[in-house]
Amino acid sequence: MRVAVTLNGRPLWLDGHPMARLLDVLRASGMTGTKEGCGEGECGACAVLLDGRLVNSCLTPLAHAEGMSITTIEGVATESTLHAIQSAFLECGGAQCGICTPGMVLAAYELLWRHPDPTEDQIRIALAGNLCRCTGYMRIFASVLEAARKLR
Amino acid sequence: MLAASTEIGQGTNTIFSQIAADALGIDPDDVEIAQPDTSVVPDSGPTVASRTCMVVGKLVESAAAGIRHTLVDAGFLTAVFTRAEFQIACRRYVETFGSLRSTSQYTPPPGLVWDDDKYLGDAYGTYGWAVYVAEVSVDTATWETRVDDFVALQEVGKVINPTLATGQIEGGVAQGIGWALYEDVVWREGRMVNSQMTNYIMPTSMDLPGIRVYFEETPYPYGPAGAKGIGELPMDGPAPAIFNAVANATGVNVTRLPLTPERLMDLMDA
Amino acid sequence: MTASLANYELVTPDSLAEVLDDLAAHPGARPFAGGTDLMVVLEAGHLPAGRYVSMANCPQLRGMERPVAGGLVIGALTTFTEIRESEAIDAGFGMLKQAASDTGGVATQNRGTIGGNIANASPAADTPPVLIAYDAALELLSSAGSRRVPYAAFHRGYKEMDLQPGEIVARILLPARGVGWRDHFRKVGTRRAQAISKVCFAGSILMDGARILDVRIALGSVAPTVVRATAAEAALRGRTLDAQTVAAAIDALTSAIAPIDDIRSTARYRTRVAANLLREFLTQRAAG
Repeated sequence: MRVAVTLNGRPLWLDGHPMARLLDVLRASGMTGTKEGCGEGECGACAVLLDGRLVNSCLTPLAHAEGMSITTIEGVATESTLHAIQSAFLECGGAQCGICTPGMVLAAYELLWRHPDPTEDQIRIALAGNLCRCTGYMRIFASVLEAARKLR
Repeated sequence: MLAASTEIGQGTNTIFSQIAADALGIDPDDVEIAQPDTSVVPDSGPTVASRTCMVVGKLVESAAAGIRHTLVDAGFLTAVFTRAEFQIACRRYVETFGSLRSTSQYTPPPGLVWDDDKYLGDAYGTYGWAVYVAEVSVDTATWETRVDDFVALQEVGKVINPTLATGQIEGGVAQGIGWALYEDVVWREGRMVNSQMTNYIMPTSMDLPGIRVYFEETPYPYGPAGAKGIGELPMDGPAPAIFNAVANATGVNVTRLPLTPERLMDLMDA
Repeated sequence: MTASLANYELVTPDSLAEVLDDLAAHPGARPFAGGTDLMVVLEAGHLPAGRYVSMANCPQLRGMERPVAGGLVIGALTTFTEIRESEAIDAGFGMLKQAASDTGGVATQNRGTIGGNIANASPAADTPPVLIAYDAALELLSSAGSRRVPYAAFHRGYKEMDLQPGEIVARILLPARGVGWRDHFRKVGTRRAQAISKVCFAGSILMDGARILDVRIALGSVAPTVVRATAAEAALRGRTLDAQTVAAAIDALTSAIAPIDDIRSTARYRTRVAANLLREFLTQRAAG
């Protein structure tokens, strides 16, 4: 099957079996920032935005991407300027090994679009589907709060 | 800077840059850490056992200091210098004498006796110390234990990088809480049957409290800038602290982890 | 990923009518909604090979409506996020939002659908107890027509449903509720998010002072299907809410459920927690 998508702002055709995981199709097309952490939709490392909504790309069949706009971590910065969320993660120590980071940034992206001024509770809930083993989440919460502050 | 220690997100490259830069008198951005390719770097030992900062970091510090002393002794560098002057000194040394290489080899601190053949003696010259305090509440309808607050105080000799050190403690405490309350390993006939993310239960962002981290510093003379190791330290304390708090709340004595709600129910019934 | 995709077909008909025709024309073909359950099974290597029919082009099955007569109609393809974000269900059907919020995490909720959740027929699903408590009925659709079934009779056994070949769950119909019902929903899982439940409780009660006018009690994860605790309800209906009534209801409940030991929990724990949740409901919610 061939689906028409917009990937990080660019129109593109993606090819594959209709039930192929969007995760695999994205990685094969060069978007390797999207990680396979578990392959069961539990960890969020594979998260991307589909029409602005966070989804686990390991659970999304290619067929469901037809006509959609996809944002991967590669699409968050503009040219060489980091997004406020990315700068905040750098400044606040929100990443250690980095495996969860692309998914976390995208989860934060969706959260801040829904709730530009989130409470810590709202951040915890929004990020609950993104597992992190290194940080204990503290610096990630701080990064999201800082990003919200920067974006206001 | 060439060492075998591997950056995996814990901040090795950053602290090595800081330690080397401090000893050299330059900016950390001017220190490059070589990729730990074993055909290129010396054997600094594995990246394990809370030794990277304390043991290898000390070697980084003394190797870097060796560069600086050599330049000073050769008369190319004064006691105080600018970045440009440092660059010029290095270039002049290399033009005059060929390469400038400083190597530091581990020797045990005085009085430390270790038999590597029998694996007996003092493996470490010192220890990091910690106090952990957990505040918990137990839901009497479901026997779920929730950690409401957690304080972690570590005495680590010297905090090289506050953000990274705090991050290590927060992550280690989180893992320790997971071990205490959630992360059961279920065995059946010699096989682990809960080996997937869906059934090996590690904490999500909603399962952990705010983790408050503090440091004390009693410098260790044989660590870089006085630093000791911290990598494994935060794993040790959370479960005992949590179980002591559960004992305080319920009167039960917990001697096995994780303390799942099912096990707490049995303990409280007994 | 262990599955060979050559064993699977996923077709996306252009309309609901074509979906139903496709299911009728291909016996053994299965509907495919959000994919958040089926793709997990696929990746584990356990998804039955064959033809899957995507309902991506059935917009009429998505969304919620409040009919003039009252109650709520939920399209089967409504996602958990849509349920969470809906204002339409605030009055009278609040437990739906709680259950939707407790299902997986944000990414699952953005794709997972209520109809898929029902048709996946896991006894551990979070929405079914709420639907039982709200007296839900299902509208089932096929190319031959439609029929309605009470949801309480839909799940017949473990992973067995009153769903004929070629049928899909099209809509969930919640009847109007009078004023005064007090709801109580609680999921007890392995952790606070991204968790499969050990026990899931949904209850709703209508009081007149200390007298119980009517009550609904439903539980998940304590039997091969979602359970409506009719015996416990009968021990309460028409009675005064006091310690004896509570004890009788708990007795009736624990006799009616059959939880198991499994990888998540034990039968003993589940039984005790189910009893405690019922007690919590009656003493906290019902008492005001």
